[in-house]
Amino acid sequence: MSLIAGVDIGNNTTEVAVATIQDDGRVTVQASSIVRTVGIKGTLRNVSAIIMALDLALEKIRRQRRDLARVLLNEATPVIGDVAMETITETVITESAMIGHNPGTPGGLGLGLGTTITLADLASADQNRSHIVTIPPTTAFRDAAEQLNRAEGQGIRVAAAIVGNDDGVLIHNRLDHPIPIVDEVLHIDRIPLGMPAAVEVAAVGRSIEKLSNPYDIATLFALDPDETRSILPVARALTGTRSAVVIKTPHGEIKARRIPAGHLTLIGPSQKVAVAVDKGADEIMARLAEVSPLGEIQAEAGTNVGGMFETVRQVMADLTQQPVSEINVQDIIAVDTLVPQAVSGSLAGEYAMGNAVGLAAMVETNQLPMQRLARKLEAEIQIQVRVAGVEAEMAILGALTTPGTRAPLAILDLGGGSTDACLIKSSGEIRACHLAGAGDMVTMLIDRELALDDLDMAEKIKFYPLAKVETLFHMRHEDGAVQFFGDPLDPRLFGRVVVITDEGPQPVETTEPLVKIAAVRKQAKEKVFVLNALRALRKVAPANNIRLINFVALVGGSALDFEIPRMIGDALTAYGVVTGRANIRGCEGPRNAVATGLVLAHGETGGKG
Amino acid sequence: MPMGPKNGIDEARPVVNLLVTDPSADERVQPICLGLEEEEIPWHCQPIADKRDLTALAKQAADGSKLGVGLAVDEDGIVLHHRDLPPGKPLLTLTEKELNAAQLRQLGANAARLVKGNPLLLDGPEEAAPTTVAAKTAPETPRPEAVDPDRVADLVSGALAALGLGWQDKDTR
Repeated sequence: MSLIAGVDIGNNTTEVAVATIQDDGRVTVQASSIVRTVGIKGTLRNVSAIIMALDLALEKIRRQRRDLARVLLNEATPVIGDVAMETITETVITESAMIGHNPGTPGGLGLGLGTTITLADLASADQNRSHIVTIPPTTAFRDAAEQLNRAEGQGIRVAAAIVGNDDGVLIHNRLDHPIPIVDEVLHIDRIPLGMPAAVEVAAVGRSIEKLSNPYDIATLFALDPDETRSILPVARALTGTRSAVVIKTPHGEIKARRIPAGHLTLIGPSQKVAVAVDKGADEIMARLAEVSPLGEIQAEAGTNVGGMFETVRQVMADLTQQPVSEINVQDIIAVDTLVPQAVSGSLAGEYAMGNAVGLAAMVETNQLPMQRLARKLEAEIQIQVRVAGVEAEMAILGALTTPGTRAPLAILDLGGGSTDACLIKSSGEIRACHLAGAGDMVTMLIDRELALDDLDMAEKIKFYPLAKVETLFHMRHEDGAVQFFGDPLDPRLFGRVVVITDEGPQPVETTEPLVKIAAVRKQAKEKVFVLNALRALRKVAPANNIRLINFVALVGGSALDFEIPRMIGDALTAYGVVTGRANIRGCEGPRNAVATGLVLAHGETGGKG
Repeated sequence: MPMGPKNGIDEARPVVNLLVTDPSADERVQPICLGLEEEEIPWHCQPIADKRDLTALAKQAADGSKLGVGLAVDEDGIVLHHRDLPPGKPLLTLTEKELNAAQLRQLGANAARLVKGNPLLLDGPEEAAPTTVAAKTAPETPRPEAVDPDRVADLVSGALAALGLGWQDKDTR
């Protein structure tokens, strides 16, 4: 009887299974362990994590490294994946036509129409017209109110005010005559003066009605039909806000501009198809499906996508010591999304939603640096190390230890950089594939759509459920359950949406309501994982027909996600497939498939090889 | 003692109670009241002669407030308290002598937000009031990032692993 260990080096985790092999070839796994992978999978830096994992597993059965007869490494297929986003539309305001930042506490109520003028010039203003007064942040609210009252007293009509500071309510409370006031305007100095303008403030909890309607704007400013057409984007941008300002400048307008985002070239054995990125994800994926078999994808230099392609190829080139020119991008996934972007030319720092395309790319290669790794490990631990077993085959063997499974069985490994599928037919034949687009892409979509600029937080939002802190002592979870706490919650959490991590609740730095954050999270997972699950299974299924697969087991980290297995299960019910999280050896859940497969395969070969 | 609210605390109307023990603290009290006013939450401000512990006073003010929030101000500091908090654990205590008007307004705004259930402004007066989706204010100049203890643990973990001196890692995903 001998003791062997199987080691699976993944992109994120390194897993070990330690097993005894009887003389008759029977294998029994005795212990397992999991640690974080150090360095990129396949590089010499992995060795330290491997040793750590081996020691952890051996400790559990009170054995030493020297008791091991052999260590088996998976023949890892290096797959490098990355993500990028191309914005394809942006919003530009020319000549400062509107203010729509929707401050929390505007003053007053109603609609005010007049000509823009600064507070300093108000005392000498024309008495024959109404005025919209701009009040810079350097003016104290008391002085502003005093001057406005004085002007009214002198017969100068003030219809509304636009204020730099957060003083809308303070000023309004001190006026003799109520007027609508929009405050917190960042670039008040950029407001064009001497122009017709309208200010509207709705009651608390309501939205404006006039300035969000193109025909009302046409009425207020006496616009002709062509001018009304060009004011439409302004009206749309102001829909749903509680307060707004529209200024009629000669060339003022708000435009959604298309940004050229380059082309992708899809190359097959006899085809070469170009698709413009700004046509959107559906177009890109449709063209992709047409070019089959796909040999290579190229992107345009100088674009975000082009830069991303270069990065993945360079990383792979360094990893495998091949020239970059020999490395090709073999799969991409495109996803349509809306991201908040700063509006160019805005007066109050407004953001508007822009169309964008999220892309993930993947390169893989057959060149394996695993032998080098094996030699280094052998030197370190003084135990025989062998590279044994194609990763996909080992994964399937391990997955088959899940109770209730049999061939034809497919596994879906939902990782960080790629989505991998592998099928074993009843005959024992194995087919595998790797696709671009996985956990990292989901994280990127969450990060961009919520404008977090914090991938760590996006990662947490992806993996953990949300709650809203309603008082100092309780929070309401997204499923409606209320949780009370004996001690008061940290003031930093008060009133905020929080994500319930293993280390406790953490605040999400956004003003979006919980339902919106949860929706972004779910949609990102649907757009990437459900789409890719179907793409991958189709690739490996007999006759590319998912119906011919009986069982699908989910393995890997993302199989532990609280939503993804259900989403994929829902998508696959239409195909009559049994889908679920794998349960390796009936005790590991979706973990340890490859490591288990390695030791099992070793037993099958009678301990040889 | 003036008529109406007893001991300086208005228990009848829904207001935030402010007790001021230092007669010369008006300069500090004004901006706090402005913060409350801008957020449209009513308050009742009362100078009193009581020289008790500031935290106890703030707690009393909060307990007597229909909105559940109270403040106490003296020459040494300001305490913001809440009806549901233990007496010795106020929400905020400010002891700096040199509080500027913007910071005091923010304190008033936070007292109001405590009533409304809105997130508090805790990063300095520059942070903007919450705005809805259609628009956020433009990002401010970047602040130094607070150190995330998890990230530090990962870095140290990796460094030790590279040196061959690991320790048991948690289950990772």
